Amino acid sequence: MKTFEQKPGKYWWTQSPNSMVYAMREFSGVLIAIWAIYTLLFFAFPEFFKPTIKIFIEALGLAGAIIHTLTWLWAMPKLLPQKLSDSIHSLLFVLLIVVWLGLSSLLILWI
Amino acid sequence: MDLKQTTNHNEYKGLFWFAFSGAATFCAFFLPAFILIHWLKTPSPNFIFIFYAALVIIASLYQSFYRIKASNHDLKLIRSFIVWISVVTILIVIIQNV
Amino acid sequence: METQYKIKVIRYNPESEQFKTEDFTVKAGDDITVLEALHIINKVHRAGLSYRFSCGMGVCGSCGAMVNGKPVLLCQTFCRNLQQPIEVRPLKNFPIIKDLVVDTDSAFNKFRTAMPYTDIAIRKAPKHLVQTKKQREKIEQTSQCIKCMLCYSACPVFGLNNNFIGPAAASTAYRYFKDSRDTLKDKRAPKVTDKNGVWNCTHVGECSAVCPKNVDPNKAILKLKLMGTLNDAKKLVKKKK
Repeated sequence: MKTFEQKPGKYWWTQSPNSMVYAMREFSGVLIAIWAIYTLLFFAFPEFFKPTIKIFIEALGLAGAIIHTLTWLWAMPKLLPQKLSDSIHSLLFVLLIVVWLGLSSLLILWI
Repeated sequence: MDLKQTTNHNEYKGLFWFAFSGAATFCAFFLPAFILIHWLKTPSPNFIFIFYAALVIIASLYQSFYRIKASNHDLKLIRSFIVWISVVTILIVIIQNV
Repeated sequence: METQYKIKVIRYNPESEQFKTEDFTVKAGDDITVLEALHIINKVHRAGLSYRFSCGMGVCGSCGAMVNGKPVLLCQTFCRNLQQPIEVRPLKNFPIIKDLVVDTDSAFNKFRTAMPYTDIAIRKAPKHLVQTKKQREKIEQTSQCIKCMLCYSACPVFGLNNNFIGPAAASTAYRYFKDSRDTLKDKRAPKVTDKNGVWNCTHVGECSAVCPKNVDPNKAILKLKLMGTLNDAKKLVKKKK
């Protein structure tokens, strides 16, 4: 008689929406890390890299940053001390997105 | 199985975690705009831009490496991360040499 | 009116160490739960299924299992709300003993870390027993935990690292931290913020999504992390002084 030890499968993160959002949040860390390292290198050796690489890395970084922003802002209301209903959570998420877009527009216009 | 109690853990893990949360929140609001500015406008390096760039890059590096470290420790994801980093590096080398 | 429910049970035989899938058809009314359907399977089909249950009304937390891929209490899950065939399998992340019976000791032992008790009786101070409504409200939500272990079954971190304190024990620890009568904070805090403590939580949020009592361990863990951060800051300031 032997018990059967269960371990999560390789693709456990595809099995629920929460896990998928989590996996995307973590994966955005890799894209952002790649972008940050290469941006430092661009600043140090601007003439070394071809413009196509710059576009590629910026696009990669932007994709990672947007995934990070969306998943992080989605998680933020869930961690407020108050218990929120699904509709209030969605409303807060939309508000955070509006704040983010507003701040980004201001920065882009100002700098 | 009982919880293994250890004392040799990082004494200030809370502070590192708090810094991570702060950096991730900062990046969520300010990183996409910075990438767009850097990509499309390439502004002249004045004090405000340098300060903004320094903050964003430090926060990005800290939060992304903390995240990679944490997800490797908790979820053993480092292999898939290494694969992704390798794929991107190979693509960069190819683009650079074409 | 009777409805036909197709139920697929994934069974484990500890003697042969083999799994097998068995299909059953249950004819019953609209109001039966998966637990009642399993009772019918054993009565009518003489299937000899092994599964845990006790109260049948969502209080004891014994009848946890995976139904259509989600950890649920069998007694709280109505067949009419599920997509057919209804797939029933043992809870994830725990060793399977037989059929739907799992060994939850690894999760139960984590409650030792939470120190879910006070030493009021020892100190004999009845004044401390009185709680105001506000004090009670602080622990209302986290007190609802029935230790059904569904959150452990949903937690990927616990699945990969059995030493992780896990959602239920962490939220129980939080409940005692917030109890106005608690005097064990200093002893509990190092255990909860240990190497295998709350810091390992990555806030996937599945624990809160599956909790049948709306306890929200995800939030409780975040609050414990904030408490830990504050303690670290205090430690740092004290050290510098």
